[in-house]
Amino acid sequence: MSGKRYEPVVTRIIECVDPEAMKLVAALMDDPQPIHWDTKTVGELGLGDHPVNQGPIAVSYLLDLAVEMVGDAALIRRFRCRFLRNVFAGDRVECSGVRENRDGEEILILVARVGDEVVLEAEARLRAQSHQPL
Amino acid sequence: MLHQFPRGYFTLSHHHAWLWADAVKSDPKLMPHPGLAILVAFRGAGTTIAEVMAHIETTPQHVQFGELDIAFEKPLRIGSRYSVDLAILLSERKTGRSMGVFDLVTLRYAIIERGGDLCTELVQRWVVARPQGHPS
Repeated sequence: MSGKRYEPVVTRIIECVDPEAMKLVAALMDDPQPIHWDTKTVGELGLGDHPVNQGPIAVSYLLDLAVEMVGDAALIRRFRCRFLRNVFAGDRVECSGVRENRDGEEILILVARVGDEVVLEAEARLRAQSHQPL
Repeated sequence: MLHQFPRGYFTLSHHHAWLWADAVKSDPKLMPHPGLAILVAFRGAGTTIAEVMAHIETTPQHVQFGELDIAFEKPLRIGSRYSVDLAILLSERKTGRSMGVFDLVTLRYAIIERGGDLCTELVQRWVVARPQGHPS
């Protein structure tokens, strides 16, 4: 059942995905995946010549947007997302979200796009006490 | 459940929160950032990401994140020490047109506060390519 949507669509833009941030996050997470820092490996895998952004960084872009929309991180009860395409260093990522009421539950529908392609889609479910206007 | 790793521990420090917020271009006022739950899960588990990959007999080049489901029960707090339980819940063999044979591996991280209350649960699905000859 489709819910009642509240405008406006809220957006957050990352103008240029930073490869240095990927190195930092790889070190913080002890992430052994070389495609986030080693362009030689990226090339060998046929992924081009730019490092691939970590999923948790892209997730954080959408979590930021969700917090901006509801005003308090504590109101986010659950966050589910699907990774649909790689994001590369240098990409411009446009995140957008709408809030809807689905059968009495407040939900944020969030997507991240690079150009016209959706790279990450997510749904955030809110705690019952959140009735703040956008 | 297919495998339970030993329990691990992680103390979330101010510099972790600051550096994470900086890396994800977040508002510095948003600390600790909710995305830090991923850091606490990965670092706090009683095994490394590389060891998890070794356990399922793969290498980083063959692994992609597929899905992530985070249940926020309580907010993370800077300075708190958390225990983390990691389990492999499921591994499903699939075949796709572009990818060929692959496994969908479901992992569950439980971030637990001192005192035993669940703080955050993360369920993650890895897409693990299985080139010909790899084990099931």
